Amino acid sequence: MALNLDNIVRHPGRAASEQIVETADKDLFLQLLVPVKKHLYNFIRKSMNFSQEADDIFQDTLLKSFRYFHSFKRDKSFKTWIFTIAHNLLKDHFKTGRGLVLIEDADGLPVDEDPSIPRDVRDIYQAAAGLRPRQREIFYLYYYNEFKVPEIVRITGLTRVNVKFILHQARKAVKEIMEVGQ
Amino acid sequence: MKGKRFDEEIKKRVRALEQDIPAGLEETFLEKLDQKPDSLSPVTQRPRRVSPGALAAAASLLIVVLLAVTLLFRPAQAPAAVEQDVFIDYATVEGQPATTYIVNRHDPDMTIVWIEKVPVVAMNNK
Repeated sequence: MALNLDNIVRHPGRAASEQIVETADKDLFLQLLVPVKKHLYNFIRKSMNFSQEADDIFQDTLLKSFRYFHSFKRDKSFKTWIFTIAHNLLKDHFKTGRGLVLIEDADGLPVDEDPSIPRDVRDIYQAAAGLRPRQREIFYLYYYNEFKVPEIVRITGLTRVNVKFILHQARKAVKEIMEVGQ
Repeated sequence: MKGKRFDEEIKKRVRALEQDIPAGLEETFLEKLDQKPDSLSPVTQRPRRVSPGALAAAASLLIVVLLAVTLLFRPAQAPAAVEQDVFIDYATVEGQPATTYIVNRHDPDMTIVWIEKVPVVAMNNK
């Protein structure tokens, strides 16, 4: 995707503190968002076991990322940056205790009701639903969003060793759950 | 199933279920961006109510007041230790009145008391 960074126009006569975000910034933000948003939305839904609250977290992620768009370094990956914001909001969500009842109060995995979804796909979501929130998040970052370990390190702020360990635990748990189901 | 094959299988299954973003959700987001441009502006700052000059003047004044109060209301210094006189009203040596000499040194812990026997003059010699 070709981006024209020259579109960012600010008022030359104003001090930096008085500058407002121009339409060009908004356009650029929305432009960068296009290839990412569907994966971001599905990542949040999957990480939250398809809870309806996922829509709120997704909305908050977009608003917050737009609010802090000025701090985004244009030479970095926008995808990694916006997923970092999503991770922080998910972390806050689980930390406040709302996430603790998520599995029990989840609105139900859509795979449970849809007969067109193959059983092996259903199994994997049911297995992931049993993971701890942090494990589930890293599981989906790796398997669904296909982030590499160094990228997950940047997103989560965890160490490389920690990410690998959590990923190993998640993989092992999913494998066990899948084997039991067979 | 092991290693890479397991990973590929999981990826395939996880990606099999994807949902489009509901149209209403995106519209709401875009509306919020349009409705609250000021609150979303990352560079908007609250105006400073006190200028730096006024702040510095107030700090200087406060220091001067504190110094004045400290100097005016200094606690009185404790009086220096004063040597106290020692008086002996009456002293006898071997039953006879004696003259006493008391010497106080600068060191308050040391007082020298010297008692001298008064020589008795025999009256019978007259």
